[in-house]
Amino acid sequence: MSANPLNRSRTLVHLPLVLLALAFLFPLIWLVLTSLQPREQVGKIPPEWLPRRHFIEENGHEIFVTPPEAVGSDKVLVLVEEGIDRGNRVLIPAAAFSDGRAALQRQEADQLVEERVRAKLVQSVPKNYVFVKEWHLSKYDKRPARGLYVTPESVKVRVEPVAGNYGESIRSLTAGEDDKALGLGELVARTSFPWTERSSPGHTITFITYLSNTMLVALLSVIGTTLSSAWVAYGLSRVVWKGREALFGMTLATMMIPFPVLMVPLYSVFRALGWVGTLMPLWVPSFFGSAFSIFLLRQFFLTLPKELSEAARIDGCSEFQIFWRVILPLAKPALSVVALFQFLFVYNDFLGPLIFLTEPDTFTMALGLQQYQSQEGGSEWHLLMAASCMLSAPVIALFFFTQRTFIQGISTTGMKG
Amino acid sequence: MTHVSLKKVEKFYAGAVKAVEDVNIDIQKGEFIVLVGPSGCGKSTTLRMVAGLEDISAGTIEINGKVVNDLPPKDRDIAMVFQNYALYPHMTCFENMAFALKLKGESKAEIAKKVKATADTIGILHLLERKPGQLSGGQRQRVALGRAMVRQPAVFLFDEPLSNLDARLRVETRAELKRLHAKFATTTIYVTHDQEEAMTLGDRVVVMSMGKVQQVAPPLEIFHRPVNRFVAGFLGTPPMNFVQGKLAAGGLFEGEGVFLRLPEETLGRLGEHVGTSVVLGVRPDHIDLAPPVAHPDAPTARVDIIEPLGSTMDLYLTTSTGYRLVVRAPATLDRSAGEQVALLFRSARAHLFEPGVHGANLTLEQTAVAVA
Repeated sequence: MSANPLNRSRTLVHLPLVLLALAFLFPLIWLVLTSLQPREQVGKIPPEWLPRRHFIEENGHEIFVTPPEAVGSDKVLVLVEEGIDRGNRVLIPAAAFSDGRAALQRQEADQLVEERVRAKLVQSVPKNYVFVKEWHLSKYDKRPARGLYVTPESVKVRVEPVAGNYGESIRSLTAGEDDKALGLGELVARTSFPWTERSSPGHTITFITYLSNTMLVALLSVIGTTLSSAWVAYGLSRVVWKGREALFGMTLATMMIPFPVLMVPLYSVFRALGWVGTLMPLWVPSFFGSAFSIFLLRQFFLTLPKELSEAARIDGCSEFQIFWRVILPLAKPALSVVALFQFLFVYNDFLGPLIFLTEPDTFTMALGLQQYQSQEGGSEWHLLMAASCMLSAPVIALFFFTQRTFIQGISTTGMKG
Repeated sequence: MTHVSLKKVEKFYAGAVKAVEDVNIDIQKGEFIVLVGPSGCGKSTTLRMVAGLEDISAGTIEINGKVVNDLPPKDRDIAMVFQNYALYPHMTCFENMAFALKLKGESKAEIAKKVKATADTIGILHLLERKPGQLSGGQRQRVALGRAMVRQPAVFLFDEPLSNLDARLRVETRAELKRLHAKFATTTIYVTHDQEEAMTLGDRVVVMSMGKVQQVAPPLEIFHRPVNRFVAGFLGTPPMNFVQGKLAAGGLFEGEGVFLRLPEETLGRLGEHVGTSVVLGVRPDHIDLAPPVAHPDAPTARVDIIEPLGSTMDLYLTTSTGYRLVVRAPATLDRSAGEQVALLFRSARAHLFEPGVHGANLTLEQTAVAVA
């Protein structure tokens, strides 16, 4: 700010840092902006950043429309009055319409047939006109969308986010019934929670089903990992016994085995247990500790002075009481780091649910999002991004709330963030 | 009132390293005993064996006549104060002090009463609702003391409790400890490396070195009648001067440019050592300085540095062979650096030791108890 050389050099240091941070933020910014764009704008080349909406004014009302398409040459819009196309509005070249008759071309067998039919001029469309279609947010909106030929000047553009994408993304995850829009009340009413009995076939699986599945798995595995890892880490750091270091080494070694190697054996195990298709493979293993959490907590426990344990022992604590009443309360920062890491892992895990879950009513959010990509042929990018935003928001909020504990926990365990 | 007895207590670790060897101490009821020695001498290990935090490799420890070797700490009726206080950071001072009582299952009212009473005794009533992190070092020390006292144990164990305090606080707390001991007369074992603490606090002092007890005696006896060179050198500030030399016939000691004739009564005990190598030990306050002209027969030395200490001063001297001595003299002595001075030894207070770090004191009467 001032001429202080120290400040200036600090600015010089911070400038590249900020730029770098922006580079890392780029995907997030893209995610948020895309989630607010109308469907037609997504994936445009060259890319468009800000959500823009086209609209025309009709009788003093604004009507949202699709982006204009050029007509290209002088054309006329006619209402066909006879033949196969009777009653249809057809756009034909201006030259093909004369004396109340329109020359229509039609593919018949392997040849192109041209016939002249009676038709009524609806609108002449000069070559500078553009075509727009009334814009419907939801693909479930079955109202007829009018196509309009208008002058380019009448189509106006405004930067305006399509907040409706968010509701739509929730709605469109509601699969199971024929593409039918559901109100929120109906949505909730049809939710099947994973702990209730399996609903009958053909029931509705909703966004909320996925969300509650995710939360259930996250909650259970956070509890499981935190408790079991802390218990093991305590044994590996604050109790002296023969073979301790060797066992710790082995525990660490399990971290080096990549998940793809384990996938098939794990699947066999869980299938033998009859757990495939249930949520159990996703949370039960966490009750047996995770090497990373054990390592992190062990490092933290090592930093606590051994006199604390000794004082507790003299005060009359058993080994378990030392763990439960002295060490665990002191390890809160490290425990919250472990819990947060585990939560993030489960929340974001796609591969595990993909392998072990077979029934849509057990799907987690991460797996459920997959549906946007295959539904109805094309990918619903804008809806996928809207759902992704909603999925990321709680995690980001969680991080902001726990940031201090988190950083404290990481710095005291000597882990890098 | 508890009687603690250590019999042939030993501690060795894998690889046959002996941390503590053949320790025999009989601690009387209500006695304040101080274990003192340099770091690594085994004093803390001994204390921790009494506490039950370390296994006893050999020998027995009895508390009130009962062998406690295999008892867990909580069943030994002891309380311990640690060097780093080891207060539970997540509990308030009240909870810290109440913890042991709570584990014993005492009623809430009883706990509150006891904690308040103890806190009142040591003046920490106003700190009870705070957590250790909000306290100064001295306050934490008091809370740690309170935590030990509130249980009214049979034996207090202190592991260097004052060494994390600043010098002034240390002296104050030392006096406080002494007052408390006078009041409650609980048997106390106190470990320190600070010889001043040992001298001022202990009813008896146990000097340890290299895992062995060197001498067990009241402080002044240790000071005046050290059994060996180690004990002599460990206690006293500045430390005793040691001069390597030979004992000639007629009781004349000579070495490093220093010579003195030992008095008749001492000489009688030195018979067989005449003609051998010995080490002379003289405390800095047992050497008088005079102008060389007045004492032409006395050994001389040059004054290098003078450290005034107020009522006294320390003079650092170099003898004719370049050997260094320290002398404590009254502040009134008018000497300046670079001067030559005559050394007048108070030969009755001089000790002769056998060579070696733990060389026995040859000048003591045979009745003196040499444990090592």
